[in-house]
Amino acid sequence: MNETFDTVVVGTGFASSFFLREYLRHASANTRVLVLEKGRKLPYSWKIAQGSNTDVDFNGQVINLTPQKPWVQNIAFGGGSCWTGTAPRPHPSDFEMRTRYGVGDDWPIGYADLEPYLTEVEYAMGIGGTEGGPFPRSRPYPTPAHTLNSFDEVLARKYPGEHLAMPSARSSSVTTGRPLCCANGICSYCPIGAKFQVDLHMTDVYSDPRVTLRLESGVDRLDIQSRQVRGVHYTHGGRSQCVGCDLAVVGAHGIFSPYILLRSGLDEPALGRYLHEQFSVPVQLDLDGLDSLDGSQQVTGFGVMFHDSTDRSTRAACNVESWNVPWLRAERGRWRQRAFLHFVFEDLPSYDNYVAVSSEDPSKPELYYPARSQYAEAGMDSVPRLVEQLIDGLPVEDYRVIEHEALGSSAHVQGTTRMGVDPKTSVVDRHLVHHRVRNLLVLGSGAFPSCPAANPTLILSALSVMGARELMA
Amino acid sequence: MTKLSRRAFLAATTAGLAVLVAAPYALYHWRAGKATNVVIAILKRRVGYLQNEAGSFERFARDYIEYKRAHVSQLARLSVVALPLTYVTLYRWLPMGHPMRRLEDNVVSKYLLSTDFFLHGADESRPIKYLSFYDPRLAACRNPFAHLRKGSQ
Repeated sequence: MNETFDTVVVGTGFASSFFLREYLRHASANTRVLVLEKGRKLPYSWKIAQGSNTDVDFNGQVINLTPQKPWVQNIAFGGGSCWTGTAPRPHPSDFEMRTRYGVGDDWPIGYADLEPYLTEVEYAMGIGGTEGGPFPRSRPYPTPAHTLNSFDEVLARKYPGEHLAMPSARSSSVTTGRPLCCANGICSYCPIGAKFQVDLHMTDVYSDPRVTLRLESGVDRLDIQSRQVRGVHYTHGGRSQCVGCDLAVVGAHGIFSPYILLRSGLDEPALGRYLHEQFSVPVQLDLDGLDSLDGSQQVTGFGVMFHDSTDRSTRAACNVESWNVPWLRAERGRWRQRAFLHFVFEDLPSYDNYVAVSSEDPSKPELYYPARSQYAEAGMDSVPRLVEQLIDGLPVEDYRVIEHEALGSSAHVQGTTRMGVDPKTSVVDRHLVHHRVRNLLVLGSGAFPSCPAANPTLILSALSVMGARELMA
Repeated sequence: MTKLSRRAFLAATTAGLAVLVAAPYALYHWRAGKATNVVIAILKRRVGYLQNEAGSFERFARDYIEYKRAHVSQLARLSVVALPLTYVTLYRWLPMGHPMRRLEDNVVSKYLLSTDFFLHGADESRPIKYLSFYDPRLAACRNPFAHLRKGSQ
């Protein structure tokens, strides 16, 4: 090993970046951190022109044994799978699936444990939102909620406290230091930078003099001896290299994080298992006499009216997203009489679905997820009934539940390095530290033991801040 | 042998002649039709009653086809029905989400958003000016409805 660092961080997505920001706040002036990022730093103009946040073909990086289930990851500086800025909180019940509903597993932490960190991240991102719903808060949102569209207003009247403005990192106020979101509908590469994102708004972390950033450096494995990470092997420019470290922090996404650990000789029963993500059922509605699509961001409404229904022991819960993109009707004078909803369902993580080192080509992870759980299917099958319930008494002329036979991807890969108290059924502890290798942290949504219907970025970022603070305490 | 009635003979002859006339037309458009034709046909029927700037349909159709490069061949084949589509549509009888409904919605959406129609409150009595093709990647903040309600509060 030619070089030694105090800490090596793998990946530059939200999980790594929020960890690093918090870690550096507590680290001494002479701390040396190496960050290894597999992707390149792409010019923002390139992203907008290409309509993409990555120049790497993710499908070429993996062997998908069940191609009917696609997976999405952006490999590039700043990471993020499909981050559009939608940032609802998880429900308190999501942390207690076994206790409350007798299915899945509980988290080793509860909502109350994570709440202060959710708030911190909301402030760091300048999230706009409003009070309400089953989400206790220690402080108000840092910026005002976005404006609902007219259909959301109708839903909010029908479901008081259960249909809210979608909390969002798409700027709702100039106090964020970013331009106001103008609802252009292309959030994953927002052309005006209104959305909080690593490559634009966390660059201070990577320009810190204590940090060395090496791009196009794919990590091959960790050097683990006597239950300690001694170094990190990576490839840069076709050459294998190795650096020594006292602490390794892996935040390489829910697919590559377990793959790196497996390649390093770790073999916990839960490692790479429980691969899952949410499933979404879109619904298009034609309204009767109500002009809408007039909200101030892409996803304006956040419905929790069906989330904690009593049959969550047998079928998946869902959040309802209301989309607000100007996809108009062709009919004279009825241009804006339209609404778009997404029913976003949790999945029930299964041991049988996994990321593993490919037996065919060990230089790639193999992925196995043949079919949705019966639990998710049952939830999704209930959508027509939920829509009928939702629109009863509302000015809706017609609607269409868009077919969901294909498995699709929500780009929210989760569960493969799950947290827990039992090393037999989990990989990391409540502070994201590996159960056996105590100088190894594994970040990201891989840590989720259950599958909140909420988008994972806020949660995984909060977990990173919590992990860093516990580490440095 | 069954004797063909006069009525049946006339019907068969008319149908045969119609096929004889229509087939080359359809074949020509199927093989060499212009993708812009179907776009213009939809616009003529859907928003032809508005005071559209001269040449704006043609200009929009060119921009739309450029934007939909990946679907040019399908749109070109649809030019077979461009003529009837100028006068009639099955829109109301097709299920929501049908490709033809989606096409009409998309063409009309993109066209109206490319003009100043909504900037002037969707006032049908005003002349409509074609500004530029509505593509948020090129002009990010052109959604005319984004802050309608905020402004009214």
